[in-house]
Amino acid sequence: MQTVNLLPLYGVMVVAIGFLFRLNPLISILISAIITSVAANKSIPDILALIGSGFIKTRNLSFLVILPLAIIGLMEKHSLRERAQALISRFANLTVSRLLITYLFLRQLTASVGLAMFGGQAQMVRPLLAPMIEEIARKKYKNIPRETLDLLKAHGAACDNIGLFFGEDIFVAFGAVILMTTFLHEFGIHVEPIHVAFWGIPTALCIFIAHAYRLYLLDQYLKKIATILEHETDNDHN
Amino acid sequence: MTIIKMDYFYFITGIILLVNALKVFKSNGKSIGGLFWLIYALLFIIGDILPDTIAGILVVVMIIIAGIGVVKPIGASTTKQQRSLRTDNKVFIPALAIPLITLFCIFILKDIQVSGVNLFEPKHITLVGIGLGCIFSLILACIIYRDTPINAFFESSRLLDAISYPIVLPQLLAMLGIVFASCGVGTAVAYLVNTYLDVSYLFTGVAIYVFGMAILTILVGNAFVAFPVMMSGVGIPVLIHSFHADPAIVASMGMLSGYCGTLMTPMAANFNIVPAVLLELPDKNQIIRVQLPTGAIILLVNVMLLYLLLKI
Repeated sequence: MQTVNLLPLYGVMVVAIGFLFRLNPLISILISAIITSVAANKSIPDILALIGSGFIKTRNLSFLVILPLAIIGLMEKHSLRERAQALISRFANLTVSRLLITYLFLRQLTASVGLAMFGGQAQMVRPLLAPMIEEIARKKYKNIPRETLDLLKAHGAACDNIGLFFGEDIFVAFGAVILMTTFLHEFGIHVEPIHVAFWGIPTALCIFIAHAYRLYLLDQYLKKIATILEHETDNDHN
Repeated sequence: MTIIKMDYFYFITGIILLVNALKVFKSNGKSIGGLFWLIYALLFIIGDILPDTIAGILVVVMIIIAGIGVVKPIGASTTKQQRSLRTDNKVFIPALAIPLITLFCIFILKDIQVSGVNLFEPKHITLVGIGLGCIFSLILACIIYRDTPINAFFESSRLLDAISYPIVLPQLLAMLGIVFASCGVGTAVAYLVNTYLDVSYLFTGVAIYVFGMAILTILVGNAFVAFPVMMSGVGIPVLIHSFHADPAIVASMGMLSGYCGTLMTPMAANFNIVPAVLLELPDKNQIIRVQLPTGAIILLVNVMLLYLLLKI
């Protein structure tokens, strides 16, 4: 039996330790890549070639973030945020919870039919969702503290992530679904992508219920904060 | 042979990065921070003709420049004064145009051939679609706003500057995944799980698989890196072979457990850290803190669901 080389596992440890001690993540990645390759008995030119080809192969990830920036930048210059806020302010009885639950639902639904690009942190959350949340919160609760606004914006970003992750996995032509079936095929296990996609549904439903409930509680929390703030201002007047 | 290649979009991306590099050099000629953006741009513009070793050296230099903390936002923006205040909702059209054009390319234009040559590379149809979506949306934006592509490049440079070096993190993590795979990290983890953990009961097997996916994803920041490791280590030998589980259920729920891990880790920088920077949150881990309870609940739900589905 062939012995298994366990040394490359130190590379995984380096990444974990790096972020535990809040080292610069780029440096952690570099050290981890080098230690892993050294542990696998690779020479220095081989290590550099591995890093270089790995970076060139994965350029599509950066391209997906950088190219839309030109359009987003131009839209922001031409008052995209202001228009988004004006649009949302027309819906007087929209609450932060209702907005976020609606966004989560739409994000999950669109991602599950292959429309992953309908949302996005840079495309949707920063230019549209975050200003909308801010507008509603300010309108309903005067003098809302900065930290509470930050919390609400973080919730907006979280809705985008959760909706995307647990929506696109139901889409049959999604990369992850293809990756899973291809990988199983190499082990002689044949699975139809449509079945893998189908079994993503139970978890997707559970996460929508669980997270929508947490978002529903958010309005209650905001009301509580607002009452505390009112009391404080009353005391100031006395 | 194809007419529209991914390389064209990499080239444009490179130009956007180059504009930012020039801007940083201009604001402070002695700053080596500009070198970070210059190398990043070069890897996009001439990446394909560079030998792998040279590309590797450039990546290492780029990481070191960012690592010593000299890549900082210069923040000099003149946009605020130039801002035009629009009063109609046409401003939203370019944002909606990106996905619509992308879909049009994926479903309508995918099979189009011009004198026997494919218009798109079928392998990269989605990426090419998004690229074209961005280009046409940019043209549309220039028409609607009566602005110029040059200004768009300056605007993207303003955003790049604000995001700063974390923008390269997703790509570096994917690169690390490739390094892990070619160095046998997966084989080693599979060996450890089988040697030290008791997987003779269905429930423990399920729990190790689900939590293993999440923990490994938390460590490496990417469920795609964790999946082959846990699937070959626990999923196939234990759940599929010993307990005759439906591979489709095991695969799907495993990947989703990995996604729970993604919600909880700063290593998934593009989802958890970059947005915090984009939203200018003072606490860069706030998004993770908000996602943590949901991720934890769903992990427990997944253990139960997977156990029950396999038991039936």
